[in-house]
Amino acid sequence: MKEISTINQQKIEFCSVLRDLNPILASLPPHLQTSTCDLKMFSLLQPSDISGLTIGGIDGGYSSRLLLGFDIFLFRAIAVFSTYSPSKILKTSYFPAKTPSLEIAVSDVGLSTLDFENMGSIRRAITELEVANKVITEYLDLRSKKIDLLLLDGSPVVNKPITKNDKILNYYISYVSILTRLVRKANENGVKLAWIVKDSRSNLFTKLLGRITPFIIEENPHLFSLDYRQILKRSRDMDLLYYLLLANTRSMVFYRQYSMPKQFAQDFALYSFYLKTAPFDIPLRIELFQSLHQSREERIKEVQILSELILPVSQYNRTYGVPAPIVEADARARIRETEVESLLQLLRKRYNSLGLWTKRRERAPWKL
Amino acid sequence: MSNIGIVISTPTSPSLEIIEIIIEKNAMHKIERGQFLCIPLTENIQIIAIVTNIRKTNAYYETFDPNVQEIASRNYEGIFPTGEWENTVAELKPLGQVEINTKAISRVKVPVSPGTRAKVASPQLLSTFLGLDDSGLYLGNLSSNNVRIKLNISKLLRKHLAILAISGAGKSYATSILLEELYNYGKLGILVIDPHGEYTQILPEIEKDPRVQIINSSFISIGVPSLTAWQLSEFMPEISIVQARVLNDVIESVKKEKNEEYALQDLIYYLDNSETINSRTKDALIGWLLSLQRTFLFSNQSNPSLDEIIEPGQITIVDLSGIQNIRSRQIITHYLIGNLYYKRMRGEIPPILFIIEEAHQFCPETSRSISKRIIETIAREGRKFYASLCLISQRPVNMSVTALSQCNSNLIMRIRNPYDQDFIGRISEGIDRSALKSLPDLEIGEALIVGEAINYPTFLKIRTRRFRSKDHLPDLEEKAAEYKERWSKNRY
Ligand SMILES: Nc1ncnc2c1ncn2[C@@H]1O[C@H](COP(=O)(O)OP(=O)(O)OP(=O)(O)O)[C@@H](O)[C@H]1O
Ligand SMILES: [Mg+2]
Repeated sequence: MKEISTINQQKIEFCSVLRDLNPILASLPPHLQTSTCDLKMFSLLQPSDISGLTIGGIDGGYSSRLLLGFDIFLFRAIAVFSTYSPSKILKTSYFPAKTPSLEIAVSDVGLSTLDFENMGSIRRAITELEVANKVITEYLDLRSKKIDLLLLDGSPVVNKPITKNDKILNYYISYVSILTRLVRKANENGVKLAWIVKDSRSNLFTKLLGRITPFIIEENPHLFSLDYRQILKRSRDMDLLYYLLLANTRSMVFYRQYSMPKQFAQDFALYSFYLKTAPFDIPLRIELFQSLHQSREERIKEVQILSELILPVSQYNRTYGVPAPIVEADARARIRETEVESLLQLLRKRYNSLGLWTKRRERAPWKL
Repeated sequence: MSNIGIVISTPTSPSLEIIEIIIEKNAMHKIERGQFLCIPLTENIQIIAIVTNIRKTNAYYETFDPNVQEIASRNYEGIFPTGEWENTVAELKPLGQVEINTKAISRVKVPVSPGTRAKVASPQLLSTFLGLDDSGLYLGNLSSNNVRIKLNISKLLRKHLAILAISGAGKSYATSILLEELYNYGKLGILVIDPHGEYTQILPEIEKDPRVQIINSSFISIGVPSLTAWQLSEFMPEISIVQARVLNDVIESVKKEKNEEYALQDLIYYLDNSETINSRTKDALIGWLLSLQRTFLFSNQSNPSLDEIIEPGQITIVDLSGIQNIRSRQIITHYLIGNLYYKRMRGEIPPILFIIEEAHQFCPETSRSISKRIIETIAREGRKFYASLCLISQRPVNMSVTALSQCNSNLIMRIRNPYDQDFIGRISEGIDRSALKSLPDLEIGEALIVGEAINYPTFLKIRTRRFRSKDHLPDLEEKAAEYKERWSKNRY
């Protein structure tokens, strides 16, 4: 316990010094500069006026059930967009519906638990991207509406599953193809796309600090009496950045290694950065694909604009800073237990199949 | 009728006690507290439920942020689509069920299913459920369901009616509506005891109507020869049986002597001169008789004759405003009601309704009253002889519990005092707590009808009067303008 408090104390000290210093990255040795487009470690932001803009959020819900005869997945994804005015939301629309119905998929029997989970998570990710794609193509065209920014819940990074199951691998391939299509479409239509990672466990930033701190100390030897290695070993990004970032600031942008089809990788790369929206909440991790055919200045500007659009829709509570469109989409997409139960009951009534029964242990006629 | 909402499933609803429905967006303006809804149980059975409460929910202000201060200081509406997720939930209390084919009404035995649609109960359905009578007395409206409250005469009056409310709530107005309806009905005999002489004001048009008779108190006299000793004793509540027997002997003797033409002073004179009667009895009787004489109500002849004042469809208003003394009022009331009741028992007059305003003056619970016994008797037994009471009072707590608890129908208007509320809750079995609690909030002319007359306690708005009335008094400005006009004319 004592240890926790000392480490914490040291973290805070280290962070406040670093924050005041706001190291100039440009002065680092060249091999350490490549991963970033920013000149400084932190940038201050000014929340934008979003009046007249339309900002959307997309999230998906997922649930699964192991029944007697079938293993089933339940999905749904929803997009919500709001058009803002200075004091209130002018209009909110939902796609495909205000309360979309659940999609059911029956899994092959005999999947290993791991494959079952892989299958579920990839298909869920696909459902979300499909909605995003439809929003940008159909919805946008059909109603000739404009969307300025589309936020997606989570990270676009889905790792290639380690499996011999072809079906799952095929799903993975189609995920990647939908993702690339989405990024290109959004780029063509002038829709900014960003993924919001609420609870990042990454240590991109910590790692980077581990590499650059010696140089910073070299430049400012009077600054560090702290055992920074010890501190960094015990910290994750969120942990340090909670102290390092003040509200309305963002971290520098990191390059995010993610293998994509060659053609796509020639045009786009994945980047991420941290943005602190609420003073007493951890920062958000934001991920975005940026066109490689842009200058460094253009890329910084893009990140800056994106951040300044996210700030105003994320500032409503001092201890919680998730963008409102994500909160709303999450609330609508979330699949409630009662919903699943009543759906199953309906199915049982209709098909009268033993296979739709739940496992025996869940059917005990009493609660002991 | 269009759909109002859909039954939702919560830990307590739908049950036999409560049904919660979520209101459809376009039906928001169609629902109100106190409204009756119907929800199908089967194809042939409709459950009738009343709206007891309406609440709004919005998850954004519920679980999202427990820190209310935070919500208040931020522009949530500018960031979240909060308006999209406001729900209106109505809490209903299931009252009973109606079988559509047979019109049979029964208790609810199983709850409706979640997902069932609720509608506003149609006037026909509700009329069946409440037990209204198309050819009954039209007292008011249930606006939320567009229903005319027409009450079956027998159910409303046979076992007596009480109209209770604070002063100014509209009791007399409601009574005038009852009179209008009974006037049209035209078959009952009606006697109104009117201490303030207000019915001649309220119903000026019928003043000249041959079917309305107004008896001014200054013309009333009680013919002493028509009274037996026992009847006369009723006006002397302290009299003992022995003393009454003496009085009987006195009357017998005077009757022979005076040949049916005598008054109180003849009895007093006889007593005074008697040598056989014990002097204490003598003094007591003389004292009481003198005090009766001082009321100036007694003479050697009755006026008006009781044989003439009650006819089918006739309204007889006894205007007591000329008499200030409460005891005198009680004497007249006792005399008229008592005699008419016995006439009714003998079938000499049509079935009769006694309407008694300020009934607490005539049958109080604690203080002594000459007219209390006859009112309580009619309350208990009048039903057998088709003699009914309509007791009106703003002081229900002070009223005879015997009389009031025999009133099987109650029309209750605004009540403020918690003692009165409590009292009404006790005498009137049909009223539940929530109805009781809303009594202080009733507006002028709003009433709760409960008891024999209706299957379920129902709030109604007393209808407007058809007869024109004199009770519109000009306000100060009108009066001043009127005066000035007259004054200017007179000056030139
Ligand atoms: N249903 C109604 N519609 C319109 N006006 C009404 C209604 N009921 C009562 N009023 C008006 O309210 C006033 C008071 O009504 P009313 O004299 O009937 O009250 P009350 O209960 O008999 O009072 P009190 O106990 O003093 O005799 C009157 O001016 C009357 O015209
Ligand atoms: Mg009155």
